[in-house]
Amino acid sequence: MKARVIAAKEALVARRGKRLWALSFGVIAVMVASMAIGLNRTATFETERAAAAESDKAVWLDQGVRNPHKAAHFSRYVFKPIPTLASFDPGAIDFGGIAVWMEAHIQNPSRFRRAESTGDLSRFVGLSPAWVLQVIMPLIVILLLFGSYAGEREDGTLRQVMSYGVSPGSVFKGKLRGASSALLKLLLPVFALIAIAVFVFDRGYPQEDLPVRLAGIVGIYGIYLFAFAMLTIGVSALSPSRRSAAVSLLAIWCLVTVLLPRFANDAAVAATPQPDSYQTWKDLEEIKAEYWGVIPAFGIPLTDIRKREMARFLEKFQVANVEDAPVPWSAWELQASEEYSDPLYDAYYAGLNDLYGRQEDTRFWLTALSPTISVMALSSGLSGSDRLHHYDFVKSAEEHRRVVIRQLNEDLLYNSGADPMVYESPTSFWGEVADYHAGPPPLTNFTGNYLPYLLVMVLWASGAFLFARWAAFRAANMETAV
Amino acid sequence: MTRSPSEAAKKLKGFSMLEARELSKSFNGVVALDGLNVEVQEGEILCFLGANGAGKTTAINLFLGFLEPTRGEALVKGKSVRSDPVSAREHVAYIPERVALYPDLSGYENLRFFAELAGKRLGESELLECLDTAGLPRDANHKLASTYSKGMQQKVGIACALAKSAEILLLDEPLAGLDPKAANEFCSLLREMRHQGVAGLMATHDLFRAREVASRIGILRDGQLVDVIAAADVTAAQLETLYLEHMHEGREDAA
Repeated sequence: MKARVIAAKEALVARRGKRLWALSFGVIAVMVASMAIGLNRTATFETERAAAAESDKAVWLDQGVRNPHKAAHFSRYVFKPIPTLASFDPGAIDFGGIAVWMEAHIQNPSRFRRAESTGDLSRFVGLSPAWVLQVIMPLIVILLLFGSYAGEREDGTLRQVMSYGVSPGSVFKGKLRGASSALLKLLLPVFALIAIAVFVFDRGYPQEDLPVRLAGIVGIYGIYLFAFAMLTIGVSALSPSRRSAAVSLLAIWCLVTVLLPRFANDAAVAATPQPDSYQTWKDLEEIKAEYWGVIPAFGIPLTDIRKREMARFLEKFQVANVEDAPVPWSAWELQASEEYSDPLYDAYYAGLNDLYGRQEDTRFWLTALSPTISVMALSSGLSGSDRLHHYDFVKSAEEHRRVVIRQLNEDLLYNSGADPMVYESPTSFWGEVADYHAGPPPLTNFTGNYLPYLLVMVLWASGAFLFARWAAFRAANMETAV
Repeated sequence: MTRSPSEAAKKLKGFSMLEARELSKSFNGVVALDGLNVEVQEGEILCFLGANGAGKTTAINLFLGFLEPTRGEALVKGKSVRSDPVSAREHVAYIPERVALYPDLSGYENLRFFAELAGKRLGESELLECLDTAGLPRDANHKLASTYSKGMQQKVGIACALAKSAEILLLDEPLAGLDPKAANEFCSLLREMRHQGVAGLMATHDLFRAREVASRIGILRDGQLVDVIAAADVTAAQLETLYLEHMHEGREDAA
């Protein structure tokens, strides 16, 4: 009962104080701006992707008669579908590359990283709705609640309230309800705006599980900001004045939302360095050369691997010489080399993925110091813009490459006759080659990866709640209070 | 006229709204209140006079349960404040030197909030009547408390006590800083409440107002109750003389 009275007073003071309105207006304005930027970015991405995919297909279909292996080197691009929620949280999309060039013999890394083609100023600000919720909203929560206890202590109203026979628990519950109500008033329009933007205006690649993802986003940001609200109330309860509460909380905000996430990235890279693009290229060329020997392979003596493959070929067709086989050895070998190097590429990219995973493990341990690191991971995961979704695209693109290359190699194998190098596929054949159609993967593929981050968020929120409660009881004890 | 502390304590026996039994408080070894024995009964206001640091505010804070006694016990209507401070406070209205109001709420809204905190669901007319009785100008009822003078804030504090139907007032230098007219109005209200059966303990430096309001006056020096005088037995001049004598004795003792 008393908690409800206090909560109602908190709400009235918040409305009367105009701070809530001013902050709400500011948040909505920043959110509208960031959402507009996000929608525009995704729309641009998707427009460019669709145009590039169309142009790529037209060039492929119009290549005329051509040797299938030459076509396998000429080949096509696979373009990454940019998911709808990338407008909300672009995550690693700017850094992961948006297209893979499918080529014979090699699994190329994804390319066209947006971060490489943007101006220097883009390094300073990554304005997205997710960034606003991760960095700006905690600051708004602090500005809204820093005086929660400290202000009342400074004005003497806390003492006055306590003199009315109100228990410390009732004061805390009242403050909690008041803070939750203020938080809801701030967040509901923000989430409504995001939902409208995503469902109505977004031009990204559709995500079938969009409602679930959006609900997850609302949930994790709710938990995250609740943790900040509790932290703010706790620090306010331990501070002798509004000013000291504000100074302490601003220092915490800066550390938790700005410095620690950046430190976590640097620490992760320092603990597990990643290969640069030159090293990656060299590694991939080495895998390619493992079957073929020194590049170019033509005229170079057979490697042991090639010799073994030839022996398998002769045994399969029960012939003594490759010339006696019913299919051309050179066409057979093209597919055989693919199948030889496929697991090598799988292992290489899995290793690279593991390396990034180890970097994330380092970051994960630092979530103990900053819930922002957790919310960043969960937010980009739920938006479908994180490393795991990108790796899924890389694997899906590679599966498609293998299908296409097999199709081209089989055309060569069964239709080229004795001399595959002079064979040319008819124009109609290019239309038979499969198109890439995979969309973003479902969230359920990665649930296990996100659970530890979710657990950390819940622990943070619970810990912050217990801290706030302890501090509030301490503040209500006039003898021990600061 | 001067009595020993034990006599003073005896004289106060029989009161039961507030009771202090050997009530003592030290802060880091420094004694702020030393063995206070006192009782205040219905319709009585006991004023504590004393220099700064004499223990007046400490005594009030001990009755409010804001401080825990080092020794002894404070009782409100026979209930130990230490064992259940929350229910003890339910009987009490606390009016400090500056009544703290929420500056973004009007006097009326502040009163409604504090009345609801006290568990009183009063209608608008009843709340306005409390403000009227407390003497807040009607045109100020719905103005923000941030625009109030100290006197007006104190009146809202009194209105809160009226709305709470508090049986006991704990007043910590409520007259400090009030202009003579406001102080006079405040004292009139206190006298009226006293006549209606409200008990009170008031800490003040103002000898003349103390005599005007109180049934009894206790003089505190260095944490000890050194004298208790029935207000009706002394003139203002006699009270002043007595008070100064006690303070002078204190200085001699210290020397």
